[in-house]
Amino acid sequence: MKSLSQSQLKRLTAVHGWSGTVLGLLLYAVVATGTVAVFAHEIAEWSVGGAKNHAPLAGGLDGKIRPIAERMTKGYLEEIAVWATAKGDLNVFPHAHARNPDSGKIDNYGTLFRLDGTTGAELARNEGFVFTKPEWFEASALEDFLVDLHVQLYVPQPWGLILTGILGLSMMAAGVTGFLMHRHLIRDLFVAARPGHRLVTARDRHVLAASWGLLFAFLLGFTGSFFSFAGTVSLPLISQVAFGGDQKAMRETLFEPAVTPDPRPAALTDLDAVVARSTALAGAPVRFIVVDHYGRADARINLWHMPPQGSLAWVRNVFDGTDGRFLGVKPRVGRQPSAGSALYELIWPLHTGDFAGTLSKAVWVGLGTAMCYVILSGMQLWVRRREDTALWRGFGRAVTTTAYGLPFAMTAAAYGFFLSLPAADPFYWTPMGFVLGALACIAAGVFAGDGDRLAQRFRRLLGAACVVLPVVRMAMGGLGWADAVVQGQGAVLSFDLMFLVLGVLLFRWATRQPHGRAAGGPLPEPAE
Amino acid sequence: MSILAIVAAVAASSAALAYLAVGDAKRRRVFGLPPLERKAWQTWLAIAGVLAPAVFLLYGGGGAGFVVWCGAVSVAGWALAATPPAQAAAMGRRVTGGMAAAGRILRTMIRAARGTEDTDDRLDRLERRVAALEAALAHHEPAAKPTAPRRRNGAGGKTEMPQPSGQ
Repeated sequence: MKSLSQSQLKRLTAVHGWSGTVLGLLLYAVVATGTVAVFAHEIAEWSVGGAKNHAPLAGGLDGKIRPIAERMTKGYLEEIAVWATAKGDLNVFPHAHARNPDSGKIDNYGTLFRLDGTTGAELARNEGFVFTKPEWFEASALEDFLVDLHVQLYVPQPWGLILTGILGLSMMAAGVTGFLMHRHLIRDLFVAARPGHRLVTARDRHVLAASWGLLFAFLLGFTGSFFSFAGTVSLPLISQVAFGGDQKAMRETLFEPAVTPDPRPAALTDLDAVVARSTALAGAPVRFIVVDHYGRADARINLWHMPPQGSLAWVRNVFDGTDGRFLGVKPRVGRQPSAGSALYELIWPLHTGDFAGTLSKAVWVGLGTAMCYVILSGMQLWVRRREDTALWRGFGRAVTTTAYGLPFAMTAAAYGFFLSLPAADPFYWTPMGFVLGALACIAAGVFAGDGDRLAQRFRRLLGAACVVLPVVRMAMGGLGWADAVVQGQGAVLSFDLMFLVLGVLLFRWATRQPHGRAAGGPLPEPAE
Repeated sequence: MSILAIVAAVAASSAALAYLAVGDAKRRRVFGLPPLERKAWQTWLAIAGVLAPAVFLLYGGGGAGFVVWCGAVSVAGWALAATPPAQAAAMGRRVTGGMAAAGRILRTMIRAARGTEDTDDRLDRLERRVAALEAALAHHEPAAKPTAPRRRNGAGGKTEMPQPSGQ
């Protein structure tokens, strides 16, 4: 690698360090919540006590959807979306597109039916701009909250998305500047943190984790920014530049299959036969179905499948709605396969790890944890170099408080969810639990002990919260372990055990001797 | 590409990474360990050992396995490198001990399933029996001269029987 001059290195260090310092805590919040959100679907299953039906889209759909469609007015039959909830219920949503007076944007307006995934019995029915009301279409307030926290830090649209987009860019910038700054990347690839508690030890920890995670730091930052900016900047820009501001025309051109309008009435083909054929073609289960123009001769059935074995991208099969003919695989963008579409298809799996089941998700959790470690160790290193200043020592406390406070607040959100389940609104109390947990940690950060003692107290607190959580879940009417085993609810058992193990490990960590430097210990020193 | 193949590929690459970490010159210098004498070809072979499973995954069955491998090796490499040599050695001993114990249990189970025992088993049993008899003898005749130590000769497991105790 080309060696940099001292002044270039100094500038890069300033960019790397100050961008990390200014945005580091928020970046940690996004990455930590994202690490948890990798298992969002499983968290939803765990929180609602498991799915009654693990494959409600696999068959028997026709008899559930057709009666609903037959009694809807024509306007709502523009699209019928069908998907399963974490509980194993079915959401059936006949809808049209209309301008939402609150946001000024085109939104889906229609009637959302929640059906029992097995019997098809109607459980709930709501009408309006459905996707503005998570309690209508989400089974778990906890999943909804955690994903929202990751996607836009619970900041209203579009500012939350813009903020997380900027954070993604800063992650990429930190990766690039760190790469350029580190002159011995390969030579130091196996050098563990040197013994002791010197500055160079902190530097070793940060550099080692960053070196191994460099590729994925860049990848996760890029893909995250892409999603954040797609809805807020890129697509509105494309709509203005290429479609004269007509968002509907843009959506149809980019994301819908080509159809010659034919409003003549025609019966929809057997939906179950189409689902079976599409599943056989894709080699993976259906996750989402949209029937366009139900009851018309130009009806189309779109089926989204999980990535087939060995593949990264989701598959979208399109069938003729009247005779059930397979019309082909629709590229993610446009109507013909293209390099752009292929790249677009990779963004989602590369960002979420949702392409090879639990294995890929577990690896992505590992990567997210490594990223969290890089961010926190970087900020700690920055503080260590300046800890003779009271202001930076205060920032160090803020780093410790955020490092432990955020996971604790997320656990508190889970408490809010479970405790409100029997008698209150989980969609209100889940975020409220997070806020209360965060406030408790901030108070502890301000008033309790010094750096090392503070960290130990946080570990105990978090450990206790983890150990008690499964008990609270079951006490609030959640599924017991024996029933979970009998019903094959792996998510319920796995998450409970994970919390117990995590709690015990945190307790063990907390009982170790604090490794603070003794009075008169070595002062801050250059890392090189 | 099956999950098992991906796990096996990650395990193989991690083993090769562990080999590279153990012999890494700078790591050993930093922790005050003597350098390991390794030939260049051994290091290159280990590097090939890290990458070969990725090639196998890439050409064996789509990109998913390869991407999982990339992520898993990043995490595993970090975990391996971040473990200081002393801790790694202690963990290695625990793993080796655990594997040896598992091997013994497995052997016992296989023998139990077959209903057979091998020469080593018979000799072990015989030695235990002799030791018990000696203990009983020593109990009854406390003034008796100590016996010569028993020892095994070679892999064949031939055992020298104790000498008569001077009666």
